[in-house]
Amino acid sequence: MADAGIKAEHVNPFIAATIDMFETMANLQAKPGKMCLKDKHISAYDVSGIIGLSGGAKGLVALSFPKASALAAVQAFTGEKDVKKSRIIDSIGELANIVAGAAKKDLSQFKIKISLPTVITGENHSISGPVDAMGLVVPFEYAGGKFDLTVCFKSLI
Amino acid sequence: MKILLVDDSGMIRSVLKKYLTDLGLSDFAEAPDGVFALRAVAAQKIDLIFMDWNMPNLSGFEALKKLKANPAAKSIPIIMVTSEQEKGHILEAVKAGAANYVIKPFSAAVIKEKMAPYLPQPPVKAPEPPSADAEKNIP
Repeated sequence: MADAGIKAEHVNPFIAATIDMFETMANLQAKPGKMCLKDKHISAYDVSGIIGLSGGAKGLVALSFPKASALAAVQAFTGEKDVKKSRIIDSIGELANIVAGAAKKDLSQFKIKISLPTVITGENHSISGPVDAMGLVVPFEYAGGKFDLTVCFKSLI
Repeated sequence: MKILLVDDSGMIRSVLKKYLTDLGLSDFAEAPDGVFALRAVAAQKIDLIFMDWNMPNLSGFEALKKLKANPAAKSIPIIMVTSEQEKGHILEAVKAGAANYVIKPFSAAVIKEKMAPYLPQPPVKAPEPPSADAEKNIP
C-alpha cells in the first residue's frame, strides 16, 4: 500500500551519502542542520543539481548551492583553482548523481531508478517535486559555505 | 606511464587526475565517452585506463568489451569506475576483462590501492654494514 508521508528512513540515506561524499572525496566535513518539511516550490540557491527518482518511489533529490559555495566545493573536490562556469554546472550535477547513487543501497526495497542529472542555475529559482510528494530540506554547512539537500520522496509500495 | 581518464563528468576526471598526480603521475589523456576512448587508444600509447560505466554514446562496459577484443589494446589494464547502483555489474566487467573497479564516491587512498600493482616499487634499501664502533661493542 502506498504511504503518503515522507519518513526519516527515506531521507537519512541521502544525508549520510552527502556527508560521506564530502568526507571521502574532498576531506571536508559537511554538517547537517535542522531539516524542515516543505510541500511545493522549494526555494533554492543559485546552482542546483537535481536527480529524479522513479521505480518503487517517486520524487527527487537536489543539492543546491549559492554561487560562492558551489565554486568552493568544486575547487575542493577537483583541486583546481581556476574553475569555469561549465565545470561548476557539470560538477554540481555529478555531486547530486553520486549522492543519489550511493543512497540507493539503503533504499533497496524501493528498487529506485535514478535519472541523469539536471542542473538549474539562476538566482532565486525554486524546485518542485511531484505534487503529491512532500519535500524535506536539510541545510548543510561546510568549510566552503552552505548548501541545501532537498529530498522529495513518495513511496509507491 | 600514460593514463586515459574516461568519464562524461569533467569533475570526476579532475578528481582522478588530482589523486594520480599525488602518486607522482603526470601524463594523462582524457575522453568524455567510450567512442572518444577508443579513438584515444588508437591514436596514442596508453598504459592504463580509468573507465566510467555509465556514459552517453558508448558506455564504459561496451568500450571495455571492444578494447578487450582488440589485439592491439587488450593488454591495457582497465579500472572501471561505477556508482553504487551499478555495483551489481562488477562481475560482468571482471569477466569481460576489467582489471579492477572503484565505486563512487572514492578516496585518494582507494585510488592509491588500486594503482599499487602498476606503480614502480620504491628501491629496497640495502642494510648498512655495522660501524667500527658497533664491532668494538661486541663482547
